[in-house]
Amino acid sequence: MEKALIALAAALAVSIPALATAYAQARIGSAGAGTVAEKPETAGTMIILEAIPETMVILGFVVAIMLILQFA
Amino acid sequence: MIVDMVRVAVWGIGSEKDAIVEELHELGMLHLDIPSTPPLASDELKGLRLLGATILGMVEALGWKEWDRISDEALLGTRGKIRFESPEVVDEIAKSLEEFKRRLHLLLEERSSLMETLRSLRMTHQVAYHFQTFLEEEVSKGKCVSIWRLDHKSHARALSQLRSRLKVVTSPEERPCLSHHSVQLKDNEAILAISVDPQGKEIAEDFMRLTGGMPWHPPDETKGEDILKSIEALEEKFSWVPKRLKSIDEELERCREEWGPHLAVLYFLIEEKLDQLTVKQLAVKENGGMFVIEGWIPAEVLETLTARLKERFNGRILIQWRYPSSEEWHEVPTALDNPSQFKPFEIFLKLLPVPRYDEMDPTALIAIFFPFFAGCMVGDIGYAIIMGVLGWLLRRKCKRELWRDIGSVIIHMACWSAFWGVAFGELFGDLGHRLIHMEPLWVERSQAVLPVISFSVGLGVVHVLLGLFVGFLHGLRHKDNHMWMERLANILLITALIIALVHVKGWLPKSFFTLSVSITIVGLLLLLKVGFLGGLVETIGAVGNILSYVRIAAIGLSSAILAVVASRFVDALGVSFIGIFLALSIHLLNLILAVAGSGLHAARLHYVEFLGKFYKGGGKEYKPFARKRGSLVWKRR
Repeated sequence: MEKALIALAAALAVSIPALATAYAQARIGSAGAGTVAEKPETAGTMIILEAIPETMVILGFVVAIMLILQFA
Repeated sequence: MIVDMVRVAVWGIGSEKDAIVEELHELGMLHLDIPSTPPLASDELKGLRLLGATILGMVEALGWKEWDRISDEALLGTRGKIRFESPEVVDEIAKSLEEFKRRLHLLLEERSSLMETLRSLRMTHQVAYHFQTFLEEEVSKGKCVSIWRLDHKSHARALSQLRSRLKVVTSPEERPCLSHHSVQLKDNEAILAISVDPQGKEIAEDFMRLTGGMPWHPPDETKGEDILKSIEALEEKFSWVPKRLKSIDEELERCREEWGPHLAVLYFLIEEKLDQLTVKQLAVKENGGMFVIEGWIPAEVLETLTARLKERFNGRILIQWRYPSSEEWHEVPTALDNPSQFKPFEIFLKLLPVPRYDEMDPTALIAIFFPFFAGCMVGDIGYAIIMGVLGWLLRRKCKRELWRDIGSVIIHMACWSAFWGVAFGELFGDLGHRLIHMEPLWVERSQAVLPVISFSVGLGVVHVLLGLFVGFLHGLRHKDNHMWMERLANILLITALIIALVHVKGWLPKSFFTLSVSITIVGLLLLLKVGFLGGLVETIGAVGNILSYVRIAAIGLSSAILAVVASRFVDALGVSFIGIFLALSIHLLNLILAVAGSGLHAARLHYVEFLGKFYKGGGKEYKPFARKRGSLVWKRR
């Protein structure tokens, strides 16, 4: 039971930030597509902006790994 | 590094103004301060601009886009033959282009009209094809057939009402003759063909008009004696139009090949002449019989410039130069000059505002840390080899400078990936271990996660502290008290935090705790001096930035696990076609993710976490007054 709860916590640590990241990237992506259509030279900047919300899910992933390594 | 610039003033006599401007244009070293306000357009400028716009319009109408194919030799050859010295030359060129322009216009007009005809013929052909059998049958029975366009919803009611009307002309013994056939078009529109006896023709036509029907006819050019003849003409026209379109396209292609490069060269030369005229109007200051032209050049080419000008104009020219004062730094254009191994990394600055002349050029630091971080994320010898080959191909095969630079960056990434691959003992995941018993030199990252995470956070500490230190130096150099104090406070507080954490772990003696507290107090006092709250937020942000480097470990770990998963397919499915195919597919996916993800995240670590600590930008790019070169990447304005 305890292991199942740890696994659930680790899954939530990844999945909730993943959903938030997906939402943020979708919004940035649509705005970025509009920007690139008007100013193609901003494509590089937009790709970088698209990568910024990934921090959330990466930190979530690390938290999940720590949870599993520390408690499982 | 940012190249040292000098301010140069070239004095000459008015009669040699044109020759000196042309020589400076040829040398292509001087960056001129041309005001952004447009020059007053003289007749010469207007004529040239009009000709340039006409030629550009012709090039675009032709659909010729190979601007990169224009060679220096082609430009040089034409430059020697055509000189835009007077409006008469411009008029002469415009006249000589007139005939081709007219021919091109006619071809394009015909093409566009044929395209329109083809579209309408296609629709008409569709309708005619649908009704052809019905029409042939009814006409052979001696009936009168007409075709109508009407609303799809009302056509059933209209037919039943028409049948009632036709009873008037039909004897009571027989049923009224009415045959019909219909097809629905989009937008609720229908085409209805009705066939009636000759005596009912007029009634039927009047009724259809009353119910809102519009008679359908084939296009005028295919109109025959009757509808069937029209359909025949339609078929003929329908097969002729694509043939004519094809021959027009072939002719346009011939024109494109023959005229495109010539027009492009002419356009380049007109742009050059316009540049010269603009410079003469806006950048040259005249005083009596003398004139002066001022600008910035890199200090390293000053000698070449003076030698060339003196050689050509001997004692009839005076050249003055000086280094810029600190008050002028904001006006000085920025030119970057880095060693060849760092130069490709200048592309990272292209996404940022141009660095200011008095700023530090971060290219060398990016060249050191970017491939190191990206390589640490990939960390696989097998992937490194593929990346190396890809980078080499990009460098060798691509003509565009941008792609060659990207190729060089990928090669650097590949070298560090191979280094980290040896450290982590990875060759296509665990394939190296299975086949040649490869062992990691440091740790196997899919097993020892915590050491890799700690290492990546350590990298973050070093990188962020380095960024803060550069910012601190920048603040000191420019006597920006707020900047240097804030950066120093950040450095002290982060150092104190690290000492405290290490002390808590028991790796340092107790006296270090006092040191940590002392450093914190000094850091907080500095923050108080520069506005406590803003500085504190900055410090917390810097700690967050350090934690962000954990992505190096996280992305690397996911890449390593995916590579192991790919190899497991062969375990599960055996050395079969499906097993090997799936393993290769996963490896390919992993490779793409590794190259794109590692590059993207390493770039982000630089843009957000590192450069944000000291880089401001807002400088002017060094754009020398130079002739167009085919070998230069040139963008049309």
